[in-house]
Amino acid sequence: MKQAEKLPVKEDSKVVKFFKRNNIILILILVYAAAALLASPGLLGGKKNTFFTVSNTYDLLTLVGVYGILAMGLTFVFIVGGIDLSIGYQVAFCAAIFAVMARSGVNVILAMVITLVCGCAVGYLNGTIVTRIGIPPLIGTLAVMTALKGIVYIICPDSLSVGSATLAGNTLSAVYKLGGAITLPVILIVILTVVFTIFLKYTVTGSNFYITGGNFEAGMLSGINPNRLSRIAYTLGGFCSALCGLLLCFRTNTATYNMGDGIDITAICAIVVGGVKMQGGRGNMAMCIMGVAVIQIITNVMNKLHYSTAVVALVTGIVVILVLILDRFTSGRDVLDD
Amino acid sequence: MSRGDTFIEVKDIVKVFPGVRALDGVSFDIREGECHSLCGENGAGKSTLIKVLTGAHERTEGQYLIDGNEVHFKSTQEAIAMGVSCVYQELSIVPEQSVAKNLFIGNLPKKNGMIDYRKLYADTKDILTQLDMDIDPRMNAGELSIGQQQMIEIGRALTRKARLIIMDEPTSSLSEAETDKLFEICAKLKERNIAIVYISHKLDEVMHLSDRITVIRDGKNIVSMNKEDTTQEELIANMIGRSLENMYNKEKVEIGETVLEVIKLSRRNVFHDIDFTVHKGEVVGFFGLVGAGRSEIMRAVFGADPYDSGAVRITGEELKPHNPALSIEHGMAFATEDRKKEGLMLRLSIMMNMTISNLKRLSHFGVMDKKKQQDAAKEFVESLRVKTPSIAQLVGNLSGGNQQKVVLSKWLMTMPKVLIVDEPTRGIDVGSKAEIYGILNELAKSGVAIIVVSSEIEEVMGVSDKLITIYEGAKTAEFDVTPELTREEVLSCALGGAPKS
Amino acid sequence: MNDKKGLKKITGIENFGIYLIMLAFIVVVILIVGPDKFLNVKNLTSLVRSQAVICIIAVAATLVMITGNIDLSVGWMVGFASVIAAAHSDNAFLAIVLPIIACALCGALNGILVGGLKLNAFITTLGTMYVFEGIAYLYGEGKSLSGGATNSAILKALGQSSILFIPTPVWVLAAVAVIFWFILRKTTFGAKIYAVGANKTAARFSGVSPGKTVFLAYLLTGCAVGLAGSIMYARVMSTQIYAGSGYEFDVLSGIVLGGTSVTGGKGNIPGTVLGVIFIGILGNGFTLMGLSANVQYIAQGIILLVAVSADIMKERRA
Repeated sequence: MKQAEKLPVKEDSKVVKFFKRNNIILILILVYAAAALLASPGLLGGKKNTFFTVSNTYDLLTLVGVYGILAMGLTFVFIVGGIDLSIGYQVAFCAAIFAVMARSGVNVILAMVITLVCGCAVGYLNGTIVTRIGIPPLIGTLAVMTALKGIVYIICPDSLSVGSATLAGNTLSAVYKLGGAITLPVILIVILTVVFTIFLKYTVTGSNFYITGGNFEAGMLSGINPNRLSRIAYTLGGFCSALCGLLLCFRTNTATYNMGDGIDITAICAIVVGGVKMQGGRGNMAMCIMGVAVIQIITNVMNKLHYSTAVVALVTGIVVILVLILDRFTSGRDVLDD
Repeated sequence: MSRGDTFIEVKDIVKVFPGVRALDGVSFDIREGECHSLCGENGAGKSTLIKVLTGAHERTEGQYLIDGNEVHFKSTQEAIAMGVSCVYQELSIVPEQSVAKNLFIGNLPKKNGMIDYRKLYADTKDILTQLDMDIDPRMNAGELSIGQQQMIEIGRALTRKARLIIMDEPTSSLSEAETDKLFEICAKLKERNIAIVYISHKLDEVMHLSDRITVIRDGKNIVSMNKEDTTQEELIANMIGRSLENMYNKEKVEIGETVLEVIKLSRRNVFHDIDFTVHKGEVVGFFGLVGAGRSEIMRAVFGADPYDSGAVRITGEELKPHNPALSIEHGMAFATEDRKKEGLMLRLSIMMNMTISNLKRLSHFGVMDKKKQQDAAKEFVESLRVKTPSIAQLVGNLSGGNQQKVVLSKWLMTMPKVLIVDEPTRGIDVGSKAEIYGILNELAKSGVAIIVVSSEIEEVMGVSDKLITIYEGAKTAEFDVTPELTREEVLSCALGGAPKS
Repeated sequence: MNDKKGLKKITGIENFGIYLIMLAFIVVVILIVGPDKFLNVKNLTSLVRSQAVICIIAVAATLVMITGNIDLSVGWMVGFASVIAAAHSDNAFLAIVLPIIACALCGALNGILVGGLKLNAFITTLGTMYVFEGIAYLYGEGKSLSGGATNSAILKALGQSSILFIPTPVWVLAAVAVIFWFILRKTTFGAKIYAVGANKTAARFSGVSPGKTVFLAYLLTGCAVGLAGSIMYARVMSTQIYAGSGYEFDVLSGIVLGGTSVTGGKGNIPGTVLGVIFIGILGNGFTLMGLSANVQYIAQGIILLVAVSADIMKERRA
């Protein structure tokens, strides 16, 4: 008698498996190659390729640095199975707080430390709302977002210049630029990628983030206190938002009330494109950075080719949806089975 | 601590939930290195007892002694620290994480504050060897089979230096081979002086594995005995407290023309070449071990799962393209095995649940006829004796038996020609069971063709006219149920043997 | 048999706690502001008029929420609709029908992706939000977005006139709310929406197609958003392409305040209307108190937290 169970199942090779799980590597290469190609003079580029240049690559790296830091914070939150809608206003809030302090002559280092603490505090608040009261993260962080919006508008009704005349302003923008590929965001993103990767892989706390998001119940049963880990993840998210807020503030020496608008959504899309799972339990910093890079390359190349923001938005949206569809059909799940 | 010494002793444990006395004075003991089985019907109090043992629940009264010292566990963590681990019915595997991390969850080896991967993988290899498993520690646990995941859970208990491993229905989703493997591991564990509390409704497994057996009924322990001193029949008698006879009250029904025809139905790697017919007024039983593919076949017959080849016909008409809506339209109804996942909308009212498959009949041009809808629901609540204050009651608040009646009501309301019931009495008390058999009898008398899928051999033989056995996705035999048909014959076919004649 | 009674039965609202909290808050606001200042026809009509657009969107999006999904693309969709209305402001028929058709197509896209391909609703509608933003700009850039002299009189009436002292947009809102309430409570489609939201698999086994149901919910939401876009333009006879950006979160807040669960299977239309109007009253009250509108956001956030926590605590006790 034939036994149904014993029929050979087609197994993917290790390489195929790896790329199915990390399709972002291929997407990134593809997008970068396409961008470099399309921007060349023969095709869409004008007289010369303005995308595929050294100086633009430096700019691109800096952008990936600034927005990558924000996205890394969100990656922690995603890994524990949460979501944080308030990160955009966290950025504006932290930048505003820093600007206020810097203007009133508070020592810059102290102001930076206080700002980072404020970011962590907001993140912790989010974590507390989600884990202690049990409000779904979508709603809890929406509420915090709304409240933060009010606070930001009060602290910073329009824009606050840190003042380039001040010592602080001068030093910071100088540090921000440094020279060549070496800008503050690039240095930070490299350091943080390494630190966070080690944290997620080699520390018990970081490693247990995956358990929290992957199987909360299992975490509970084995006593790792997933609620506490969620709070830590949200707090790290707040820390990263604060850092991003500081960087944005350094870049222009000003804090504006709307500086966080839209970058939250971009960060969410970027890490999803990178392959970080919104349902939790999967993702890492490399995926996050590559996802951010894909989105930034698309934006950058289209700017260089003088397409309007409309086209940029359109293409970004289409890329996000295509990646979702790709995941849907390579995940190998039964389409009929919900 | 040597083999045979008493490790855990519980005395007169009482657990009271608001309105329910789930445990009403249970006493028994577990010795080092023994396999002690707990038997009892669903709702007898086994799960509550386990939860008290593992620290998930605190007891209301009574004593819980480990090595002679009284303990008061506030969390599962504390129980684990004292050597009491549990392998849960619902697996607690983290699918996206490696086998190694799943084994050492909550217990990762550290060096200088960092995870010591070298030790982690070495220790994992060690545990895997103990479990006779040859897999890569770095592999994602989600890619393992259910049986392997179960082993990982047992391995998890080993990493915690467990002295007692509680296994709650461990074989319910294992294949035959995997079950044998589990038994081998259990024997090894016993050799290492680890005690096992084994909970299963499969009495042959219990008899095979146990040193001692305790039967629980209505929250009390009825009897504890050595395996050698008892028989399956005695266990059953103890579990149900009365003889099983006459529960089914099978009546002879005139069998009419063919209603459902299933022809050469196959799905790659799941089942193949399934042929059968069901006639008006006939009850066809499907028997096979869990994992044999019975439920999968029924899901495909109903159009809920895809199939690669074959056909399903109702009164001669082929269902194509096959989906549940079309099946229902042609008079098929399917009360699934997993009520909560596939049968009910727990957040919605009884009325909504009962009428969801009948929207067409209870509406005019898409607008619901509320009066008709309420009347229909009330009628079924009364005729099936669903215990509820109102049809507006949320289904999530009902007991298992009443929930099953809501599922049956939903399907009876569609006035089906063919009714498929998958494990109709799982998780239901004895009283409700008899009621449900009564309903099936009534339906057969009124000319409905019925398919009963069950893993309880008594049940399937008690209610059916015809019996089909399934083994590893294939039909192995078809019997007419006569008084001469023996359980042994059916069981041997369900285990892959060929029919005698 | 003790069936649901009165208000509960008609509205489908299961739990009034959340509304009591909102009511208490409103009473406090009125007491501080002074009843005469708050409770006069002029103030109330302007209040409701200002919330009508968001309210129409929220009413429709409640359907999607009850199926257990979410639509974050409504903000840019309504902006797109208003731009279409602006471009055809000389012809009332086109200015109303074209936005509805366009947004129905947008809704259909969401429906195909979420219902048909079973993609994650949150991320998918974030993606389509970008897509609609792009389309809105591509369509609207360079077009005159304030009709001026060529405005059709009917369109103007739709946005600015009153019937029986009540602003026309409010009548439209009432009509939309009644239609959607009817769909949800009285039709087989409504029953399917609740079933899919409460348990997708069980719904499928009961002969309901989750994909089709979700698709239709998104499609209907699109239609209503289109109508809301026309009104948004007609109210002031001008618009901006980005006019609706950020609406998605106001809509979500209103729906959740109205007692709809983010996990699906639970929710109702009257609650959503109350939730959105409540947010309006909050803003209005703060303005009347002479406080900056910014304080409103802080209060709105806190109330959202309090109301939802109260709901959760109650469910936990039950």
